[in-house]
Amino acid sequence: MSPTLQFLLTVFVGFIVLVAPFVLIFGVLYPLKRRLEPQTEIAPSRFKMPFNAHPIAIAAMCLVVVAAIGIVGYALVTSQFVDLMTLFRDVVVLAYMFLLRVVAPFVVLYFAGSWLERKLNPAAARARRPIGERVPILKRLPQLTPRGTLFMLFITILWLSAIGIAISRFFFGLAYVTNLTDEFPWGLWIGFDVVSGVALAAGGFVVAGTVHVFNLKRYHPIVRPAILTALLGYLLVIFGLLFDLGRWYNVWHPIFMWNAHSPMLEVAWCVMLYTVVLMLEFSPVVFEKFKIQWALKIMRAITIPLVILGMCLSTLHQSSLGTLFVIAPEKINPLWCSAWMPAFFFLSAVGVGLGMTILESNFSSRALGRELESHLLAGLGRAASVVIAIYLIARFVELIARGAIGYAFQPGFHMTIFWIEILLGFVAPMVLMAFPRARAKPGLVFLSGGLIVFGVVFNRLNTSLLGWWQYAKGGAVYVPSLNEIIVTVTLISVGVVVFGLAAKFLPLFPAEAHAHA
Amino acid sequence: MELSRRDFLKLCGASAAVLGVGATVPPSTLTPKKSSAPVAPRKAAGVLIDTTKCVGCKSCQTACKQANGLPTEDRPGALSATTLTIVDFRNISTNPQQPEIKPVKRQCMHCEEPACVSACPVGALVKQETGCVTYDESVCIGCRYCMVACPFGMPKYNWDSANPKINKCAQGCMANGKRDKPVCVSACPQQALTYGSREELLTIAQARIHENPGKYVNHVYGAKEIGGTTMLYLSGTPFEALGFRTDLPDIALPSLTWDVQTKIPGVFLGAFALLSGVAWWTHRAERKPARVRVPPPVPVPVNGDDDD
Repeated sequence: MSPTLQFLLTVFVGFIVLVAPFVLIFGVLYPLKRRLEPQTEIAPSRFKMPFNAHPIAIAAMCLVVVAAIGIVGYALVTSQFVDLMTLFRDVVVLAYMFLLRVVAPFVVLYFAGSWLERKLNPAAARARRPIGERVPILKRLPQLTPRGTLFMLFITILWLSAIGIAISRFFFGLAYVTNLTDEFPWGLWIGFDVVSGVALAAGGFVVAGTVHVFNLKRYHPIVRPAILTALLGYLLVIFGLLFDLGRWYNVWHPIFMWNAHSPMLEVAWCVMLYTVVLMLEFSPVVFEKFKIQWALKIMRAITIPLVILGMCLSTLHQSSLGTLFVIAPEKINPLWCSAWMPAFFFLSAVGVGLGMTILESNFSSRALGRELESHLLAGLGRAASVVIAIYLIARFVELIARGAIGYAFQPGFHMTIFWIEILLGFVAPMVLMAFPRARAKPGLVFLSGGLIVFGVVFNRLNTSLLGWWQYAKGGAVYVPSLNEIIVTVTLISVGVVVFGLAAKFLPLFPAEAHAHA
Repeated sequence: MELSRRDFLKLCGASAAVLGVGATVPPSTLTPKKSSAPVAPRKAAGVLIDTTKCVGCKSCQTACKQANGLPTEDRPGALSATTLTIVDFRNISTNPQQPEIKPVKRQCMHCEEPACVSACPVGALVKQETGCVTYDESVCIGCRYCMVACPFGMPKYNWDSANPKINKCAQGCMANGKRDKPVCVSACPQQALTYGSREELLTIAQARIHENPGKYVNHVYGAKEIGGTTMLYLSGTPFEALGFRTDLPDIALPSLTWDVQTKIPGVFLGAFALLSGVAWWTHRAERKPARVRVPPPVPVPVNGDDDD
């Protein structure tokens, strides 16, 4: 087949795949329905469909889609219809590339333009009717504030692109969406989504332990959001891991097939168990919402053992994420790779647990219009300062004892990122939060929390990605592709959206009266 | 409350004990392998590769591809998912005007204590009694930790497949007792490859070095690197010029993570005991008055805010 013919066929099949459902609905099913029951009107429903399709038509369409996915999946697994599959792949890639590279910039341009118009020529901007009234289809959507509309558009484009990327990745392989190679087998999805994600979810065990084990009751108002953040974090870690695992359908194997020599097995088990523990720790919120008193009573009785178990599991797998990289000293820069990485990973996880709780409280108070628990956050900042001080001392003592401190003064890429990580990510928040006057300012506490999160995420990325930029032959490096970044951002946005929904529908935050009790 | 916590502690202790037992059992017994070979287990055998004899004819490369059913028409530049062994042509000259090309065969080194086997969470990679490191795709989850762990970067991945595998020399040409030596060894027209037990090969290698003074570098690559490998190399030029990593430590890499792994049961039990003690100590004030008061006038919170 000539390339031209292939291209034309690709366009043709793409057109069919993308347009056929609409032709089927509006051209066949809809007129057919009108013909069959010309008199009846659809009863007003709570759910307004964008078009008046009959439920049977919708069900049929769903069936077609499911069958199509099934056929495509079968064809892929059995490696049949290779040419057709190539066409399908090209169509999918074209579709989400169109979304990413054409639609998304257009939307960004539109909003930038209207913002500029509001700034430069407010009179003209005010005279213009809002877009929601000018474009007919937007009238059907729920009316949102301009910021809400922007957020919804951003989420829509992001999630649609992520679905396209997911199709490419799960049906065709990692090569079509990632920049991973045999020399860099782990990329952003492991370095950020999994290794950093688990660290960022450490707030759950830190705050729950503070309140229930160390019995510092005044931190109680921030326990529930911290546990929810951790739970969402772990669920997204598992979801992100499914994206990265080549043979993801075997993801259950670590439950039954053990190699006790592998730190990966330890991480898998602890993440599984701790996710269950987090669900149990979070369950009182759900029980309270639905007023299931007997379940609440049981949960109240086992809270402390449960929290202790959660802390032990967290200690193990937060450190085991460091153990993962202990086996590759000949690949990772000695500034990060050491036998004490497990201890460093655990200590910095405690620090970032505190930092992430500060961030999460600030974000939720801003987004949900809640009062900020500044006095509690200042306390967390103070604790983080102590933890980071211990971390930094341990890390530098170990670097000197191992004789690797020289690498910190060898000019080059790794020296630069090492000092950015240490100074900006660890020293700056530690110094800031050591002063009571800085802790009294909520803005500075917020900044410190942000710096800690940056520092620990940067540390994880340096260990798992950037610290590797030295060993490969010919100076090969790994830089994440746009697709990998989009999936990562999508996972974060899913977390944010679910957190917002939970805050709306569940008793996540105590009533203000209790907050100061 | 008191009782439930004690029960819980017991339960955790028991589960930790189970985990501890799991940690002491070697992986091969936890994931028993189906015996694929009807032949009796042989002594660990490896290959001695004498690079001074290699003429770069690529017979081993082609024979390997044919025996493993891999595409032979491609011209691979490096090891990949479809090239399990390759003849790598290295320029060993330091003078850019006069290049001097030296062919080197590369493949999985079949380490004595393989990092990939230690890294695999599910035991898909196994060091067999024959000295070979085999791979079982039905067990693999595709996490690629073996690729991270391997100091030689030998495991390769089907990046463009929805059903990817780890690909490396697993001596598949000898599976089911089809052959008594790997195809690459029998394909070599120069007898650059010698198949035999590791001790034998080391003796042969030392003998060759001593019998031909000046021909060889006085080093057998793989004798000590990473705790020793089953594939051994002899060379006439320094090994780093041939693209070998000479900065590898002599310790076996799995011992690095195993040192940490063995501390897990202790850390778990220690943390559990410590935190239980802390919780018991910090809650002492709340226990006392509850015991004194008769009857307990504790108000039951309907919209409880002291639970999580």
